[in-house]
Amino acid sequence: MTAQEASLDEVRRANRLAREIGWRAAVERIVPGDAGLICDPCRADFQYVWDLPRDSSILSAGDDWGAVATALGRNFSRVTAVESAFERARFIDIRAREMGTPVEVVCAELLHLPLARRQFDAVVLNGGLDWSALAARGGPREIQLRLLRSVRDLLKPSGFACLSVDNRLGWGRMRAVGGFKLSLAGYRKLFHKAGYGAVRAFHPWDGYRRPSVLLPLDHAGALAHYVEFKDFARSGWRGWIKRLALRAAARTGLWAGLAPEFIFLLENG
Amino acid sequence: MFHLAADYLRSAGWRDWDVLQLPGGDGVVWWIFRRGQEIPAIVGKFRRHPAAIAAGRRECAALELLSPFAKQLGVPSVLFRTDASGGFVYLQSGAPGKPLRNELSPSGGKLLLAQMDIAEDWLEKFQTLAPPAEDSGVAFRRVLAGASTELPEALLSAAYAALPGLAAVPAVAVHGDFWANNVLTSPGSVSVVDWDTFHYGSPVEDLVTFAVATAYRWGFDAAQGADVIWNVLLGSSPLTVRTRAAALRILARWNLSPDLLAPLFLVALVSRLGRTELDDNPAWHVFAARYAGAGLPLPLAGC
Repeated sequence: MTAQEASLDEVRRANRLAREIGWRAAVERIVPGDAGLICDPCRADFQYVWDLPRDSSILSAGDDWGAVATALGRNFSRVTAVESAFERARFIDIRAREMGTPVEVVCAELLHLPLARRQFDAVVLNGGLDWSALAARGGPREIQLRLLRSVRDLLKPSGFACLSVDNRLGWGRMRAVGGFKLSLAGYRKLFHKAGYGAVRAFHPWDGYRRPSVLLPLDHAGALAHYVEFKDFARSGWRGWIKRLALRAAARTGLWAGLAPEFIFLLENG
Repeated sequence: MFHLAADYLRSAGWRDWDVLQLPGGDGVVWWIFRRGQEIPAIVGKFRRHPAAIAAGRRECAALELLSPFAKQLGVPSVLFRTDASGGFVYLQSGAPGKPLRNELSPSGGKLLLAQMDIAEDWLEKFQTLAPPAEDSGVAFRRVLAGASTELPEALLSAAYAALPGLAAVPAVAVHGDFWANNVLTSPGSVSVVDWDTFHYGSPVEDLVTFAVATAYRWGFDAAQGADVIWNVLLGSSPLTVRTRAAALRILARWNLSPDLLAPLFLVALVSRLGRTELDDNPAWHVFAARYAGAGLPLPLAGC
């Protein structure tokens, strides 16, 4: 369970309260420790690198309190949020209505979506490859492929999927076990096998729950330039070493392989 | 929002690019790279909230005003600007180079002095090329009118009292946020970015801002931060001495008496505090209170 995944009972209580005192106040009362993250519109800041006009249609999945869907609803005219638990779907609906954002909520399993094919310009999966593998029966790779293919079916030919995932080999989080998370190369292979075309990989510097800083992992020069602007002075000699290490990681390609989290933009092949 | 930038890029003949996104000014900043290049060819900014949108418009206006001298001053050019639903998007040319260093010791050292040389040289060029305000009296009064209500009364009233003595002083072009991160250097070039606090004001404002910011320590608490500011502006460190020398050269260039350093410092301080520092940095609150409490001692005396 991640920091902001509340129990269904908590969500039920939040739903009751939200109708009386508003969604934000309800969150602050029921899950005060996670309220900052749940309410933060920057959760969907990856949308600002998308080459999509306002009248695009977006599907958002895996966003249990609706922070991503409602932030997308501020900038896109049609957003659909998918949530498998009825209580969570209800909360997203209450939140979106109160905010006045054009978010339609569908309560369904992502692998069995009752939606027409080829209708979305973008599909957002927040940690989607992880939880889909945990939630369904079958081998993780097989389920991940099924999910990616079903997302492709939903995309228009010019559309793309936006995925936030952990790196199995990320610095500070090497894992000996766990078949759900992959390395950069592993994800690329998976996307290719699922039929996607060009893949753009970003490192969300502050984690994919705060995707305001997005570093293009295919551009060593951009990473090196970022290091020059990153202020390490306040960390003293540790900052000096960190700067040297990051410079080397940018130049050698290690950064791309060892970033702890990724955000991918996958073009529908 | 990036589609607006992408449309511009396509219309300018770009076929492919990489974008690096950063938060900035209540919105985001995009560094847009051509494939394989190390310096962003274009910097884009998306501003969301009214105050940030106003700042973005100010930056565009400043860059357009300075466009005749853009090359000599290393100032970006505005390439594209548009209102979007939900914000304001604009693109400017990228600037080459790496930022100067922050958090240097005010006790001197080659790097500190080299950076002060770079800053002073650029400011001289800037103040020479960019014409001053047509009516300096109006410009100075505008600076003081924009002062924060949190300023100590003694400081603000002393600045107002100094205005009549500044009748013959030009209100020069001021970058307004002239600190190390906004000054980029590469072999043979200096560029200055982030122009959204451009205004007309005291000839020593940018110099004072630069000197303080170069020595400031962001890890310090408010009282320690105020000590650093005090040390730079009112101490006797080599940085203070160097800053005083540069300030006197600026005054000499404008044929102004060294006695005007104190009132021009006051105007600069009020401007700096009002524009950014009191919002962002509690150390400046402590410094302003201490400075007013000490009876506004002579700045940059260096002894």
